[in-house]
Amino acid sequence: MKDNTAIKALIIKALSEEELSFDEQILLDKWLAENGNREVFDNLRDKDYLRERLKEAYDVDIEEEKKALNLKIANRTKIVEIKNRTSWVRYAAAILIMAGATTFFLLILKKNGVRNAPQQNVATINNDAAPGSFNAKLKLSDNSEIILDSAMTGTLTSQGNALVMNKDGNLVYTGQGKNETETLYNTLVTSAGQMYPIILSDNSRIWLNSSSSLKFPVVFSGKERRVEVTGEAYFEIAHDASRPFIVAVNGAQVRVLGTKFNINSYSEEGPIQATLLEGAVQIKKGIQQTTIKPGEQAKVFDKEIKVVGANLEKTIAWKEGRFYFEDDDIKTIMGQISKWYGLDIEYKAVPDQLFNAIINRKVNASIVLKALEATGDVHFNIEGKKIIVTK
Amino acid sequence: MTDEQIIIGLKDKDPSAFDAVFAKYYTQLYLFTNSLIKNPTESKDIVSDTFLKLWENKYRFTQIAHIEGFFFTTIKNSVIDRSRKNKKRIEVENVLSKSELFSVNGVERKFLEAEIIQKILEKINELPERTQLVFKLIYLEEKSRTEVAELLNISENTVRNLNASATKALRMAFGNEQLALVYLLLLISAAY
Repeated sequence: MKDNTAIKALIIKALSEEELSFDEQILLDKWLAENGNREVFDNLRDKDYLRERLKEAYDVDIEEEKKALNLKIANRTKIVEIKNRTSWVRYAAAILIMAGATTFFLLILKKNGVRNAPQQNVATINNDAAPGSFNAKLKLSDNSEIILDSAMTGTLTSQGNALVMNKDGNLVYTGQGKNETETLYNTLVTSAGQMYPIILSDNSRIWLNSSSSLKFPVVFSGKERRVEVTGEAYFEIAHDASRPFIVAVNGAQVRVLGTKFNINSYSEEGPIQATLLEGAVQIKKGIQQTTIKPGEQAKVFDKEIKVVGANLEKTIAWKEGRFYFEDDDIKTIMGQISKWYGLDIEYKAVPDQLFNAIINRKVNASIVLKALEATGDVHFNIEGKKIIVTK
Repeated sequence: MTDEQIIIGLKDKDPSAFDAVFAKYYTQLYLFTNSLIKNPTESKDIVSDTFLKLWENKYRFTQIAHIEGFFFTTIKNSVIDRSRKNKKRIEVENVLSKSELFSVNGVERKFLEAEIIQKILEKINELPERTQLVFKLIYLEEKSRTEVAELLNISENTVRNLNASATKALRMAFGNEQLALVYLLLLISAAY
């Protein structure tokens, strides 16, 4: 669609019978010469035509339409707000406030005491699934593997000039790349229900989400710092003007100087989404390239890169240990739940509402599902390793 | 609200930003849609659904031009979908031939026209209350000066003056009698 601003102003000026400058007249004549435009202009100068259109416009009550729209929005989106708390009673209280239908549920809880309540009162959900954890697998340069657990401490191994440790729940690489003969690569891999943070040899920090991988050199040598990612990861890259940091992801490259950003490249979620929190990044795929600013997200499609705005809190909620759903449909929500809990999803029905919820994800699946159920628009059953979704 | 404030407001889920977009675009989008399907009820539905989609996609937009493009495309597609589903051939043919509907320029022209009419409407709404009322009664409802004078309990002279000041402020060919007179004189003198 063309930008009409200029011609619009010109037409209004001409209709108001104001005098046009020489250049303005030329522009107007040029526009009028195009097929069909003369008719538009003449119509607008016809007082009967204009009268009819204006009457049409005045026929609409904008306030009424706005109210109707707000109602539509309210009906479509259900709010479930459960913030980052560990006490079950507080979860249940929040559900009560939002949904009302769970009054009975809450009363039972209060009578039986706080912490043990969930297990006894989960009426509809037969099984459950534990939340994901800080675990991962590290593949070394010789293809051997180390199973990682955030509880581990101390040196795990050495790779060339680098020392590999697990400290404070992070995988840490220290070392200098001065006397490298060849670059050694390691790969950090997470499966469903796992996530892991790593600190690279240049002090860059990366959080890897579930079903993802990060391939990186054990020490950074050379003019660039380059890693490869699949799935989702959040980056806080150490500033180093002399060595740009490059993330290769599914045919695209994200080039950074010193910055905080998130990359989501789960194939089922569509295009690669690179969201910038701080700093500056440049995204490149083939001949397409674009730079984004903090608060923006680049969506990398096959033939183009689109830049849109982003909800930063939502983007890195996973790294903060939360689910953050905002006007999300049930399929999007179940996609995330499936990855975190390692469960399959089966749809017996697909509710078409949109949901808003911020839920601590360090809890069992049943709690998250119960929270969504409290809206009354969706129902779940866990059978073995599968969640069944109904209306 | 400036355009920049609107974009930022939308990302922040600020309801007043959404209200601002609604106020800024509703009329022209309704006029646009109605010019394509000539059905007020369905037009309101389509426009309302379009705003709903905007709400659901509020983070996508980094410039106001994106929002306008989004409106245009969404409504155009809704109308095309509707004409496909519509079994009543007669109703559809009445409005736009299939080729016109798919002709990008034709549809863009209708969008432009709707934008301009909204601008004119906004100018009318800027008139002082009484002047505005008189103008609307005379121009839109085509009431005579006598009827208006009676209705508002004012003199016919006042009606004439208020209307004149309206058409002067709007400075558009709303059938200002004095202008008509001038044209007539010009025509007469031109004949000689």
